[in-house]
Amino acid sequence: MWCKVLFNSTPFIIFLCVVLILIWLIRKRDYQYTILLLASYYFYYFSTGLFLLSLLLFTSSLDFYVGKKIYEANNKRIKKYFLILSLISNLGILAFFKYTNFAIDSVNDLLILFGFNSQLPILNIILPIGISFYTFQTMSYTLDVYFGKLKPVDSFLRYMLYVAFFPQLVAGPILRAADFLPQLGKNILFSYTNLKFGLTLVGWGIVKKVVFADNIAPLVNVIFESPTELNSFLIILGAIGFGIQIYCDFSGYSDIAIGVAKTFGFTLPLNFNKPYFSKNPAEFWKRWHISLSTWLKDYLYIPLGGNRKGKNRTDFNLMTTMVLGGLWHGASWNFVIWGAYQGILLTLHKFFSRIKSISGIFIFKGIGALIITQYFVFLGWLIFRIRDVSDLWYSIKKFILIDFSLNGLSILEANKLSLIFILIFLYVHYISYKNKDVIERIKSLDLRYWFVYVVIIVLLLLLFAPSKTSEFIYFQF
Amino acid sequence: MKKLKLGGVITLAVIIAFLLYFLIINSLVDSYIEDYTDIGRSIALFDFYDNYEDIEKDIFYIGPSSFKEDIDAGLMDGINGYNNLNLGNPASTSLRRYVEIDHIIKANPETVVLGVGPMSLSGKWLSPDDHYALISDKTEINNSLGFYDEYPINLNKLQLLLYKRKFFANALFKKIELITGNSLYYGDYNIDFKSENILKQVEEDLDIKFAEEIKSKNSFEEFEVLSTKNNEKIAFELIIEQLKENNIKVFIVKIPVNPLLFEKIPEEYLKNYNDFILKNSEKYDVKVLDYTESYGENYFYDGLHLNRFGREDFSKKLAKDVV
Repeated sequence: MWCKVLFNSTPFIIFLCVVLILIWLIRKRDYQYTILLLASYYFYYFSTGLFLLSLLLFTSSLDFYVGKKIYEANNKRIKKYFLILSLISNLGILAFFKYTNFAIDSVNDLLILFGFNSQLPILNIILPIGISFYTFQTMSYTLDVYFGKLKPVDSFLRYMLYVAFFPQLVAGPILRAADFLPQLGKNILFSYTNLKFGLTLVGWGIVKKVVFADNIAPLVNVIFESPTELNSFLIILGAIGFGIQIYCDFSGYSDIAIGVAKTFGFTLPLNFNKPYFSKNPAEFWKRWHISLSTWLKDYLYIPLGGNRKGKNRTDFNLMTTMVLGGLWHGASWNFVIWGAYQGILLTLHKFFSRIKSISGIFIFKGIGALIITQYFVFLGWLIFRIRDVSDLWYSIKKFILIDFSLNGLSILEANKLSLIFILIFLYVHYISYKNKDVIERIKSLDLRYWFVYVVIIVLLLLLFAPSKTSEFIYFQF
Repeated sequence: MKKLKLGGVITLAVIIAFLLYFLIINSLVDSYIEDYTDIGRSIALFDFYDNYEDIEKDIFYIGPSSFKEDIDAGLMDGINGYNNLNLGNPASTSLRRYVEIDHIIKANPETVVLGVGPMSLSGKWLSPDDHYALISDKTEINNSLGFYDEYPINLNKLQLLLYKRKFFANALFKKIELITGNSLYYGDYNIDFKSENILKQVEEDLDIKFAEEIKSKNSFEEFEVLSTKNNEKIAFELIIEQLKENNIKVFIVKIPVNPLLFEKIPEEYLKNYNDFILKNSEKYDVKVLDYTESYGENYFYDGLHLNRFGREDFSKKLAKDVV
């Protein structure tokens, strides 16, 4: 009954134009925010329905109330009670909607393993889109107030808008109240610079999603549909293709979200920064899904003790953070394993860094470090992408023990376009790494040249958009 | 002022992009569709129907590509004394053939022989060639007949223009092939509809690729049980209905299937296929000639196409059976 409003769809463009015009017509600040909030709720309601909208309202209202109570309480114990109330509510709702059936499935598997015939019934639960994102957002608000980093906001309207702001509501970037709420102090005035920057980013984001991700997807799908007859070359190509697909899909979404917010004059945090040029796993997590990795660092890794409690405890904290980070992505064991895998990479990196600092032993640098890091990053994408255990095991073996066979390359003949887009992406990614920020340059172009950019973007979309728009991958998280 | 300028620039850019798109489709995609896909053949076919001088004792053979390649119309002329015309095209499906029905009726043949294979009625089998046919200017299908919307039937001009982007990449690759001099041109293919130079019958042995594939597969995804109603079934029935309404004699020919393939077609699928043919043959009083299991694997080039020997034998048999 409900359809997710995709950023790369005509209904969204119409919706955005209507909201922009309404806010432009209404000059009074609070009315503008009210319109923006109602538009955000309409956007969410249209995508999910009334029940899940009321869940969003409940979560955000609760944290607004709890934030105030924590701030007003003089007693540390009472502050703690309210924090626990908030954490239990937020995590409880998230756990119920996202992980209940996963838990039931796992218990059922265990029952079978131990020879029990009875099975627990799977519940009919709909996963509310964006729940992982907005829950983390409301929790960060309460935690910041609790730790004294933030004063609770007075305006209920502005707080609700912080949680529900539609460009980032369903798939981030995960906002911090300290970054966003101060931006809600003044009227929304449309500036030429913001509009141009915003539209530049929106255009590029849509191209990343529709032209790159959606056109690379067919090759990736055909490879991982049945990988057990394929050679190493195709498995590696599939991993590279998926890495590029998920990057273009998710960073494309983030670019659109940041761009749309910019047209209203709001600045959202950068979510991706050329991750495939990282030279070690720690750097990768500073460049990939930045708003999530910094959230995990600030609200999980550091409260667990971070690196302040010795080597073993640091490693344990890292592993815990990454396993939970993996589980955040989805209720499936492969995400847990992927999280653990990322934890191991980070721990190993820490271990080698320690060796280096003690003994000065040579550790890969420059291009060598980049290749090794990306080899393990893309190996990780196999775990993320392939759900079937035997398919995954086969693919990992082929990825590691390269067979140098060139059989079955007819898959490439039928998916030439995907291959070409993979190569173009690698080139564009390299150029944007070398030239710092290409988008920054484009948005500063004189209108005459910027016009050419818009023509190219529209033409690319007309020529290469698949006939059916597909959902953003991160909507499922 | 600057904001207005920005709006103007975006509007102008969108218009220019659309114009460029139109030019690209017009110069690259349209010419590709006309010259290097099935449509090149379709144009010849429509010209044939429209300029056909009605004679007595003529038989039109239409059906999937395997049916077209299984018959030698010149050989059949000498056997049954009719003017046998192999009007098969690279395109295969019933929906695709339904595009031609008005023109066939206008040409007024004495008999139309409809070839049909196990794959012909699957909703999965609308190949790119069929898409080309369905977006041709020649195509006019009345969607009130109940066709489903998932295929490009009755698109308006703007929708059609946008739809053609699906073929941009193919057109581009074809252009590259042409530059490198490695391309198949359909224009001269079976030009007199006597099937002298049909593709695969020069071969005598089983295709190696097919032999490998058939061994390795236990089931074929395309043989999922046909839905009770799909565009191919609707089109197939409409073709029979309209030919009969115009007093044209109709035969349904169930084409030969390689036993290696036949044994791997799920029973449920075959039952669905056979029941559908039987139901329509009874409903419209049409004779069914069943050659499904008439030939051993030595007579085939692959799963559905006969080799040179098979084609010769099948043409002789069919020439007699349809008169």
